[in-house]
Amino acid sequence: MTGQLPSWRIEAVPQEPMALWAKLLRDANPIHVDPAAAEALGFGPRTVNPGPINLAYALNMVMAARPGNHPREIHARFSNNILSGDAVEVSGVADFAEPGRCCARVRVPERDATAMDVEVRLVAREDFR
Amino acid sequence: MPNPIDRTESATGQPSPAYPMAIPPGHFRLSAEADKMIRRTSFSTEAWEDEAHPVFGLVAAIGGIGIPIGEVFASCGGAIDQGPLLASCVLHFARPLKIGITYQVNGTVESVTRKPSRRFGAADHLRLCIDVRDGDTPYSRLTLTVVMPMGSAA
Repeated sequence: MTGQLPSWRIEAVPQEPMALWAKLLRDANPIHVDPAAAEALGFGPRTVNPGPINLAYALNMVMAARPGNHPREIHARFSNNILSGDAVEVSGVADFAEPGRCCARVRVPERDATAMDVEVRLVAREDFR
Repeated sequence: MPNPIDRTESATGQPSPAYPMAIPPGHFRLSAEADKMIRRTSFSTEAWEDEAHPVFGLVAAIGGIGIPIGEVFASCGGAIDQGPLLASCVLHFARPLKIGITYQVNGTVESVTRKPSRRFGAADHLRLCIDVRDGDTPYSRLTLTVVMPMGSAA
């Protein structure tokens, strides 16, 4: 049995943070900073969000729904890219049969695309050891 | 300059079986500024004392290995400008990462498997394992799979 978690939404993914994340990740992939490079590789004329940002969106939804906890384990599958300007929606469920287990899906509704699926096992902060 | 993680291609064009292969160790300074930037730009609303955003399990691992991730791809026969893609990851936390620590980061290329790809013709699937620790204290372990387009090399 599962329960729906409050959904989480961004109206338009900004381009500016992609370069900041790419720098922190030391990721020189030009698709994150150069629309022409993204287009040349078939992504269209918009920069591509680094995958870790998409994971952060999913974790933000889960952490907001389950305050006081921290992930012990995260399983994430990246299936589609999120591009600058995309609206993003994160939805998810809590698993009542396994306390602390939540599943989240990051979607781009306009393209009817699932960007990633994430399974998170949370532990109360005071129980972390 | 020699590849920091040297690898040779077999006569058949298949990736060499010489894995696992160590990636040069490195470090990641998890500063308050970096945590603020990550939270601001990912629209995070939750924060807890000196605890870093949990996405740093991924960011510190990739950003902290001793060479940029693009050089890891290059050492395995790929190229960053061919658009390698994150496929999946598993993160285990021994404890939440904290702000203000410089972590030691150690990683290995566990395997490289060439597979036919509808989109790319052929693609190498790299499996990396990266540990983030502070001295003897483990914090997180990342297992990451990356798909590297290899054109018609299948």
